[in-house]
Amino acid sequence: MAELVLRRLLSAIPVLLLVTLISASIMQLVPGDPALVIAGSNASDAEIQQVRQALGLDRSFGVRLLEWYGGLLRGDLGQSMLLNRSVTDAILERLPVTLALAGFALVLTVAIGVPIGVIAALKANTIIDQAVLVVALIGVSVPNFWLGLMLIVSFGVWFDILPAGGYTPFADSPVEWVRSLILPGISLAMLQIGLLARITRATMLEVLRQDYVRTARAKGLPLRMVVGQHALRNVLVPVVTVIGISFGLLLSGSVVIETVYSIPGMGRLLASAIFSRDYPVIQGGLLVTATVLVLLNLVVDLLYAVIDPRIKHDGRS
Amino acid sequence: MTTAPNRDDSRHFPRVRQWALACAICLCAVATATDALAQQRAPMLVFAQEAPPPTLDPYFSTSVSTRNVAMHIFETLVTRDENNAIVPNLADKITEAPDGLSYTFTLRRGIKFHNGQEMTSADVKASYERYLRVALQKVILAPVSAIETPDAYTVVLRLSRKVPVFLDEMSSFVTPLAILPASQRDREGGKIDMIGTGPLQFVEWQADSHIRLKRFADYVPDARYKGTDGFAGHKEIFFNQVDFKLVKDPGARVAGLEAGQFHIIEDLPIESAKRLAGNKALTLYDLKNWWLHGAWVNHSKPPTNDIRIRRAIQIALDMEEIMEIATDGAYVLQPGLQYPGNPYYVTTGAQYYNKKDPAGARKLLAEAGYKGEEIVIITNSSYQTMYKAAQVVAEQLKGAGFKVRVDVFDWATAMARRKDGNAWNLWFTGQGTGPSVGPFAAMKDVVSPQKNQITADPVIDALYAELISGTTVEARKATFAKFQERVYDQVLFLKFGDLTRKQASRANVKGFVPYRIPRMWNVRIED
Repeated sequence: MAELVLRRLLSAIPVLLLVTLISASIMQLVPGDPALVIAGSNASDAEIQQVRQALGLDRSFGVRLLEWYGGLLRGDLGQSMLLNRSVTDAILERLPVTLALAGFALVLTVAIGVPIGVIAALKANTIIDQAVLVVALIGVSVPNFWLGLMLIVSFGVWFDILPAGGYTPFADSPVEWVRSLILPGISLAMLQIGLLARITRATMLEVLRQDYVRTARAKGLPLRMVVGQHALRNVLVPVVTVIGISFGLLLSGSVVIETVYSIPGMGRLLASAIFSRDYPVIQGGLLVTATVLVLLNLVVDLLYAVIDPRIKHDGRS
Repeated sequence: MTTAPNRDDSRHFPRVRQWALACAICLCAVATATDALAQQRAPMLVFAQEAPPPTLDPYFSTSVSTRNVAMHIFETLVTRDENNAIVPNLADKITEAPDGLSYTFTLRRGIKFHNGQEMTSADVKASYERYLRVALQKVILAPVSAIETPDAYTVVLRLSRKVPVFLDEMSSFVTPLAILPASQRDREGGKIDMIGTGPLQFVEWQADSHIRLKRFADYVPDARYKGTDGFAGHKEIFFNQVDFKLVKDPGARVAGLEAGQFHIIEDLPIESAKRLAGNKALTLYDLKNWWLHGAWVNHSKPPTNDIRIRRAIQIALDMEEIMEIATDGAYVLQPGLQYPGNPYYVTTGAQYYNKKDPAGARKLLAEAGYKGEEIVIITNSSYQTMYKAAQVVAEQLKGAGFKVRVDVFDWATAMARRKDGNAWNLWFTGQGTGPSVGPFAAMKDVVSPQKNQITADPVIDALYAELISGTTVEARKATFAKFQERVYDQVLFLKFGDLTRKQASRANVKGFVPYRIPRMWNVRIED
């Protein structure tokens, strides 16, 4: 296990470096100048040049990139051109927020998606099954930004029972922290709930058709025990894969929800950095996001061995 | 024998007790008054603004979002009042030498910085030296040959040449000449400590979330003014803390206002304004003359390098239709490059404005031998009014016989494309701060070396030089009339109309008066 972890981490390094190189190169090709963003649309060429010099943009891309990699070796992701703080500080302020939001959405996804998928499979071709499929369809069809705005208007304005936006850190108030995550968490999770419910239902249906399940039922075991102790575990391997992918999608898809709900997370940070061409933030943010996704994949792989002891990660399975 | 009466202790103590009781009552009264005053001061005011500032360094940004916050932290020696007249702020008195080659500023005394130090002439000198080094508009102080500080409360600026509009420039709020502590002199652009003399002091800035300011307890309101007056005025803060929340999404801003999370919001969408018009819990405001809506015209790229083609574009347009669709009815149509009521307001060039004459345009196209060369319009998706205006203009021009292509970019890309003179014929924009500052900033962008129209216009350059050297308001106004006429005659800029910005607050917010920045002073919340 330890060898697997080490091997995967080492192999991730060139991947992450490639991510930063590609993202930096692409941003150079995209038109737009952060100096112009700061100086304003009516700035003279002299004023723009002055800002470029202040930001170090008068140096070549190669020099700036090498300097950034040199800083990376020291754990320094550079200085934001627009936020008046280091990239590391900017990310450390926002990453926990996005992780909290994505984590909350993941809890909702698993807590709702898996049970209703199991129920739909057990009640296949009944009204309950159809209802679950409709809910799943709505979840994957409704744009999450529209859902977000509707939830804000209903629960934030009309009923005034939940915050209409913003984020309260856990340290300030655990209760308000939860309240500030409910609406954005639901908005973010709906799509994944729909997907997970459908995949759980399909996988469960397949497992329920297996001989060992039929045997267990024939032996008189209660349904609860057949599903809980025999079927569910076999459903979990593909479902865990989907959950892992879902968390990645929740992380990367948070930008829209963070914008609608004014949540200061990584999604908004990266989107804002891209629009204003804040190159150090873009590079640092993408590096951190890619690192999180690599670690997430590793965790999912390790979970396989926990769920199914037959799966080994030394090449024998 | 008579002896002098002795002080009877038993009669002495009652007097002491009386004094003690009086002192105690006084102390209680003071404590109660202070407590009452603190209680009158609400804990927090929350303002939701749409864009995060690129920096809070007032020297290093021309952005509205920077000014919204920075003008509460920092102040200038001279500034503008509600009618845009030049007024003293941190200066007590301003004296111009008869030859116009020096200006003497006497500073107000007892003005404290947020770090407790008193503002002196040394701070002013250091601030201006920094301005000359890093400020985006350091050209304002370019004529200054020396900054003298004969005493702690006097600053003399010596000029190398006479600049009749020097105080107009100094009081400009595009990149304000804020007074910082002398310790900030050598700081690079965007890297200062947020220490000013304003009524609010900096607490924290959480990017993408909020900027928090708190009331500066040692701020002394300017007794020369009675109330809110432009960037000057008598400024009192009735809150312990003011939060500028950064809320990009307009729907989220409106929802937050309706839910009571925000007290005041910047930029209320027109659709929401119509819906909220009858809502008694809210107050809506019209901020007229927010910006001139229009488009720069490229004089170097064909076919708009031909004056007949430019004239055809100019007379083909129906400005009412453009502004109605672009702003959902929040506009005023008038031809001036200054706003009505401004001392430099003129209407020269009006004969070219809002002609709605596509037939006349087609005739001009035929005269010019137009062969269907593409008119490239650049607009952006970041400002919906510019985006919508471009769509309407494109359709109107097609109706007049033009071949048109609309390129839509995000704001940063659109700005970068404007620098490429081969990439566009019309570039959509809103001229906001410039016209509100005055005629010298209104259309400065057509003057060399900026020349947004790409090709230099020697006539407009000469008119601008004449404008800023005019010695009286009447002379400058006459020159500005010629300047504006030239802008229309040569189609340097296509003006569509004046955009009205909508803002809103909770109905119990009193004292808020819309302005170029959302002023948090003299604002109260009434229960």
